This record gives sequence, C-alpha cells and structure tokens, in this order.
Amino acid sequence: MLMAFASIQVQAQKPLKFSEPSYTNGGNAYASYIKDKNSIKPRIISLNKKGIFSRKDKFIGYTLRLENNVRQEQSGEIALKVMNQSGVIMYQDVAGFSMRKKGEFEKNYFFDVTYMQAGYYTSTMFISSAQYADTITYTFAFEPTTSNATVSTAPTDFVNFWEQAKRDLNSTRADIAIRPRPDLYRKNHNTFEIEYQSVDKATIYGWLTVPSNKSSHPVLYIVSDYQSELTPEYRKDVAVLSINTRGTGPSNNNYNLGYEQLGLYNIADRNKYFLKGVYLDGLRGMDVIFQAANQLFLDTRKIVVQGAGLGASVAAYLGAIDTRVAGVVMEAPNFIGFSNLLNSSQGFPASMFNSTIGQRRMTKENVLSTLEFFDPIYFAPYISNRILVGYSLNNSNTPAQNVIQFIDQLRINKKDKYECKNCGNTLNKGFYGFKETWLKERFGQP
Amino acid sequence: MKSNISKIFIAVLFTISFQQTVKAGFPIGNGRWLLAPTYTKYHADGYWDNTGIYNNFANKGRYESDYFGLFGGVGIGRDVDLIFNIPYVQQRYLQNGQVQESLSSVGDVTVGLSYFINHFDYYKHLSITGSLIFPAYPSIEQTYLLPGFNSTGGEIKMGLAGTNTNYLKDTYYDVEAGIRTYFNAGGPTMFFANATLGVPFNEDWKISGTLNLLSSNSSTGFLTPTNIFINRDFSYFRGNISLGRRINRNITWFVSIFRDFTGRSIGQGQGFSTFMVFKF
Repeated sequence: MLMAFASIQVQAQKPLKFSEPSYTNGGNAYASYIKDKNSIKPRIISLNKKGIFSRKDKFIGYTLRLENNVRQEQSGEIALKVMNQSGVIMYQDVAGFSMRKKGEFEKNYFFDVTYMQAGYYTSTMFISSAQYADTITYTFAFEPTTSNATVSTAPTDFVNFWEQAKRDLNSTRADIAIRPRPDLYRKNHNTFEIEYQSVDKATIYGWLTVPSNKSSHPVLYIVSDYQSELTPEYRKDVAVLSINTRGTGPSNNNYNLGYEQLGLYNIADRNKYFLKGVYLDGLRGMDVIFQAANQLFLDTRKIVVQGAGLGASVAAYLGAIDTRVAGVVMEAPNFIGFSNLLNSSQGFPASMFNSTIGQRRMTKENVLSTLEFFDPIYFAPYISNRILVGYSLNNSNTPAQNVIQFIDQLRINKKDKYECKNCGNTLNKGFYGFKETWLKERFGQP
Repeated sequence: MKSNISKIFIAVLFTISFQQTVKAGFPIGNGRWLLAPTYTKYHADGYWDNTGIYNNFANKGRYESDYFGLFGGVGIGRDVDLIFNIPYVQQRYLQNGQVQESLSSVGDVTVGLSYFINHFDYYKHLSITGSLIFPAYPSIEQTYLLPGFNSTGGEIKMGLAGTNTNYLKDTYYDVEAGIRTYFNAGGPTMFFANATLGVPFNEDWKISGTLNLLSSNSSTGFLTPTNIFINRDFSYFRGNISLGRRINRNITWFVSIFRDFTGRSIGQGQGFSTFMVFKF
C-alpha cells in the first residue's frame, strides 16, 4: 500500500499552544482588534507538488504567499516552527511582512538538505496582523522511504531470554477452561468464556466466539491493548478469540494496578517484568485455540493474531516466536522503539517510563535495559508470516519513525503497511476497510 | 418484418445486465476466483415498435429463449480482476404454438479486465472495465434468429460500488455506465447504465433490485444482405428483483425475475433467472 503523502495538506486552524509573538506590529495591541479571517488569504506553494523531497533535491521547502484582501495596508509577522515527527522543534523563525492594499507578500522557506534527517516534518506558521490572526500548517516528507539507522542490535542474550521465558511458561500449569455461556449465544454464534493460568500467578480471562455451523472456521486472535478490556467479538464465518492480558479487565488478579503503575511493575527485573507476563499470556492463548480446535471446528492453519497498541507488540512477538501463526495485524503499535520513544515522546507510554527514572536509583539505562527485551523491533527479523501494520504519521504518543523502523527490520518480502497521514493517535476507516480485505485474504474467504 | 423485430438481442443483453447481480462491482480479491453458472428463461409475446407503441406478435407469436451462461472472474491482484462470460442460447419463435424457427448456439464470448482506480476507504470501489467481445459462432444465414451481431466488439464501463456504513446501514450499491460497440460497419453502438441496490436481511438472505437502461444505435445505411433483418436500433428499460440465499461460505444461490417496462423496437421481455455464485 502506498499511502505516503498523496497531496499537499494546507489547513487553517485555531492557534493552539502557540506562543504569541514577542512584539506586535507598530505597537498596536493587536488583541484588541476584531480579527477578520478573510482579510488575508494565505497560500503554500511547495517546491515539490507532492510534498515529498529527496536528497537529490537542491532545495527543500515552500513559498508562503499572502494576499491582502482588504483595501488597507497590512503589516504583521509570521512566526514559523518546523517540527519533526517526534515533535522536536527543528527550526524557528519570526519574520515581519507588510502589504499594500490588495497587495501580496511572498516569503520563501527553504531548508538545507544537509541538515535534514529522513522523516516527516510539520511546519506551522502563525500569521498575525492588525486585522488577521491564524495558524496554517504544512506537512512535508524528506526521504520518507528510508529511515534513520538508529536501531541498535538486539541485546546479546535476547534469544536465550525468550527461550527461557517459554520454558517458564511451559512449567506453569495452564488449566485452560473453555466454558459455554449460553446466555451470550447469538443466532449464528456460540460464546465461550476462557480462563487459564499464566506465569507469575496471573489468571487470564477472555472470550471465544464460534460460528454455530459445522464447517471449519479460521481464527482471529485479538490481544488486548494496555488496560483496555475486550468483550466478545462476533464475526461472520470466523471464530474470534479475545484475550485480556494481565492487568486488563477481569484478568487483574494480582495485577490490579493503576494505569500509570501497571507498566512499571517489576521493571527493574526483566525476568519478572510485567511485559514478559503479557507476552506469555498472549502465547498461552494460542494453546486455547489448539485445545478448542477439534471440538469447535477451528481451522488451526488460519490463525491471525491482531492487536492494537500494546496488543500489537504481543502480536509481533507471537508472529516471531510461534510458527502456528499465519498472519499478524498490528494496529497503531505504541510500545515500540523504546530508546527513541523515551527520548522523544511526552505522551503515554513514554511518560510512564520516564516517570520512574530517578526513583529508587533507576536510570534511563536501567529502564531501557529491561524494555529492550520487549521491543517489537527486535522481534521483526524473526517474523516469517504475512503482516499488516497500520500506523499514523502524526501520532503524538509514539513517533511514526519507531513503527517505520520496525517495518524496515522485517525480513519477509510481503509486508503490508497502511500509513495514515493525519489520524492522530488512532487509525481511520480506510485502515479498517483495508484490514477486512487483508483478513479475507489470510482466511481464504471470498 | 415485424416478427423479426425482437430477435438477436437476447444473448447480447443478458451479458450486460448479469454481471451486476453477481459481482456487484466489488473486487474479487487477490488470488480468488468466482464462477457463476446461470440459466435464464425469457419470453416476449409482443413488442414495442420504433415509436414505442406496444403490439402483439402476429398469429399469437411468441419469442422464447433459454440462456445458459458461465460468468467467471479471477482476482489477479488487489486492484485487477480478469473476467469472462461464455453464453449458450437456445432461441425459438412460435406462432399458434408451432415452432417457426429455432436456433441453438454459443453466443458472444466476453473477456475483460477490471481495474480498481480507487478503493477509497475500502467500503466503496471505483472501477473501470474494458472488455473484448468475440462471436463464438459461425455466420448463420438460414434463420432470422441470431445469437449476436456476428462481429467483434469492445466495451468500456465505469462502476462505483460499495457498502453503506452510515445511512441504510449494510446495504450495498453498484452503479455503472458504459459503452459497447461492434467493430463493423453499422455498429451498433450501445450505451448502458445499470443500478443495483441490495439489502441483506441477515447472514443468509439478501434481496437486490436492479434497473437496466440500454440504448442501441446504428446508422441504418450500412445494412448488408446477410444482416438485413438484424435489428440494431433499439432501447429498453428493465427491472430485476433477485433473492439470494447463502448456501455456505462459498456458494450463494439466486433467483430473480425481470420485466421490461418500456422500450423501442424491441420485444417486451419478461422471465426469470437462476444462478449460483461460487467464490473461492
């Protein structure tokens, strides 16, 4: 899927969080004027129509053209900020302008190629005059298909760690229970409640819905996001297993922790850390499918693991470690690329991890030395099945670059990515529509 | 001459309207295929003349046809489908219950490619389809009944199909319009437009309604001795209601009835159709 930067996006929006210029034009206290949004018409003329630049380009940037729509001279200033996709301000500038009545003003914003890193940039211009105040943004890409080589290699005992983790899980009694819940049966579906045991005294709950006809059903296995509880999901011709990993919904036995605490549980010891448990909770869910397969007509050759947020990381782990998985769907992964995440993001989960630094002698290195064992980026080279990754370019919590690095680390030829330019921290209808098409392909369903 | 007015069109025209119900403008899917064998019973007891006035055929005349078709498609990629249609048609013209003329023959074979220009949010799809038409029968001269125009042709159409997610939730639609022309002197050139709205009742049953509009135009100055009776200038407006029952994940069975509401230089047709759609 090519979703990169199909068109220039120029949008006007209210000034948000934007510090107003330190001086105003000609001593006018402009705030006292009634602002007329139509008095200036701003336009962006990009050097590249699609807004995608490469190293071959001599100049990167655009021209801002202002048209004075009133029969009156206007002067004011343009405050520019250019941010990279992690929200770091790369460039700032304040410039004045003046226009004759019905006149025009042009300013070039060209950036030096040698200072640019691959990625996406959002340029925000706060334009103010006595009559006008508005913010316009323009997003452009530089070498969007290459990513910064900031991926370090996986920790040396990464593979050993996960082999040992698997042994830990195998030595823990599973006690899988698949209980029919006739009160939740639907016309074409039977509903089952799932319960099993996982490492470190966690009891995991989930749901399994199975179409009631007796043909064999592909399985969609959905792993919960961080503390966001899954309820039974019903799909035509597909059995759906929804597992709430530890700390989420009913699976909070011994893990009844707050939103900002759960992810820090035992972070000092990777062998007891919360995420290790979560990943193994997910792995044991696969056993549920195989245990139920014969009786409930599940097609174990067609298991797709899907997860959003933290669930996406678990899906990547299962794709890497379990050959029984036929496909992986990752929706807006956010527990990914931890070293970059902790340095560049102010949002969750980076805020949670950063909050523990300095407490109980934890350093950033300590935190990262645990987290790196759970970074999907290091699982990527081991994934051998089909994968769909959906992510948003302007996710403020987790930089898109982290996800792009993950995709770059995938060694398989057929990987599908869905890049949403302007989805914020969610994904759009287009992704979910494409996901349905993609799932049908994996499930071999028309 | 009057009794010849309704001939020829049947095999040609089912090809056009049939795809709509089967594929409904949605992509088949990468690596998937679709097969739809169909049977259609058609009859006309009268016709609209070239001014649109209805007349009965002389001597209790009746035109009947049994149409057997095999429509199929293969998804070459997410955006490209290869489609084909092979018709076989038996036609009879009766007067006072006696068969006057009859003909059984393969009709025009159609092969085409659909390209999906845009999937939008994957709930609707814009496609363009180009097809070639090959007559798969020898030149037939001993009868007025013909399975086609005995000429190669080409067709191009645009379609927009989708599932409604807000209003009329879960209903699906398919609108398409196109042009079909035959590569010989005298054409004809046809313009057609089809619109379908489908309503699923539940997982297993669905009903759909289709309207077909077709106008065939030809410069009549190019008639030759062999095709002098072939009617190339006509139009009609047809309505079709289909009921679909899902047998299993891969097979759906449809029955439909249709009727021509209005027309020009064409028989007033009605009949029924049944077809299975196999998707794998």
